Amino acid sequence: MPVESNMAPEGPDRDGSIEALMVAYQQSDPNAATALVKQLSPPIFQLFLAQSRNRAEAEDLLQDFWLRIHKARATFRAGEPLMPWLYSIARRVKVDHYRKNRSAREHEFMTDQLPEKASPSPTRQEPRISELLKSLPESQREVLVLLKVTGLSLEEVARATGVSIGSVKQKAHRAYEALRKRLGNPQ
Amino acid sequence: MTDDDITRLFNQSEPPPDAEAIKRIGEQLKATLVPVRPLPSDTFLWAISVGLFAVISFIVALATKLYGLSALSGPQIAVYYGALLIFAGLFARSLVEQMIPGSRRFIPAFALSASAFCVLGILVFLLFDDRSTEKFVALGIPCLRLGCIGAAISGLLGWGLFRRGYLVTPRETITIYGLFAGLVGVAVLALHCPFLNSLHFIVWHLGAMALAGLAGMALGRYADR
Repeated sequence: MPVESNMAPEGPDRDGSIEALMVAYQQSDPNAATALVKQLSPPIFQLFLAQSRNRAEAEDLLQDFWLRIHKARATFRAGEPLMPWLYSIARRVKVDHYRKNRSAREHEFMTDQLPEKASPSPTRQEPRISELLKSLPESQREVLVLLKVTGLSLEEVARATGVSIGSVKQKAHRAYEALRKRLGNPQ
Repeated sequence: MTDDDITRLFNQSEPPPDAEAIKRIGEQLKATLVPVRPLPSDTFLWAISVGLFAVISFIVALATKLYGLSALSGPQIAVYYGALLIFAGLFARSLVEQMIPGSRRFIPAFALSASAFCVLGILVFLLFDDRSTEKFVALGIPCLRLGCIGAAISGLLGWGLFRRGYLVTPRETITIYGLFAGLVGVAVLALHCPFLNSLHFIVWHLGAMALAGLAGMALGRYADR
């Protein structure tokens, strides 16, 4: 049953089997817990990786995420969409992690501002997505990652981030505009 | 670079997480696995919240005598109590939305909080002509105290129901919870207080709700550390 993929499961019934696993997990089925972790970790990891500095940090976030899911599993109700539930918790994990490491991050930001010797030489033809996303404001980055990396719908992103669909569209539009400018192609 | 190229960049897949790490996480979850009862439906949570609001308000007010109920005219009862009930329904809805991760948000928490104070303030200003300030503090302090007691009782009694639901947005959820408990305090005073003075209502009755909201905000910040 587990899908060994590093992208979000696609298709209209993608929640169906995972939702059944989630319900079994709530009823303390150990196989369901293992299957859920196997099936959902890759897309959640992609989400964290797109917004963190390295793989080690993304793996820490993934671990925190599952501990949080374990704590909050009673708040999932069968019949409700699972993806927004999962991603809103993932979002919270990321916010908490960011706060915890804010002072360290600020220090690193200051060292990033040092002359060229701190910046890596551009060896890639195309920038990595995490590098591109760093130039965006947090709210735009989050919306774009949820839409493009995890493949959530507008409605699901709105639920996961607790804003309206209109606001999601606006943030995604602005993020695309900023990326186009960054990539030197204002359309 | 076109939009398609940007989308292609997003589709560059990174290697999946370490299989050993995934296995370890699975083992961790299994080690502490016990059955949990999912939260009830939104409608049930909403109904029970509004029910608790009405029952606690009435019982606390009954214990301190329903002087306010007998002092108000029929239209005043309909308008003021009706407004309190509507706001109870809206706060309950907002609280349920905040409690469930990933639920659709119909009511922005900040707008609801601000409109509750504005609408109730304007309403009592229009409903009650008396705006004198005689014995303003002496009459106000007991009301503020009773309002806070009503809020504290409802806050403590309702916590059993809501304690599982503040994992994602603790600050907002507990602030709304505090304001909702404060609204119980306002309702207790609406049933108990016989002084039909609009300034008294605005300062001391709504003051109890503001204090409960501030207490909720402080607890929310503490939970969000």
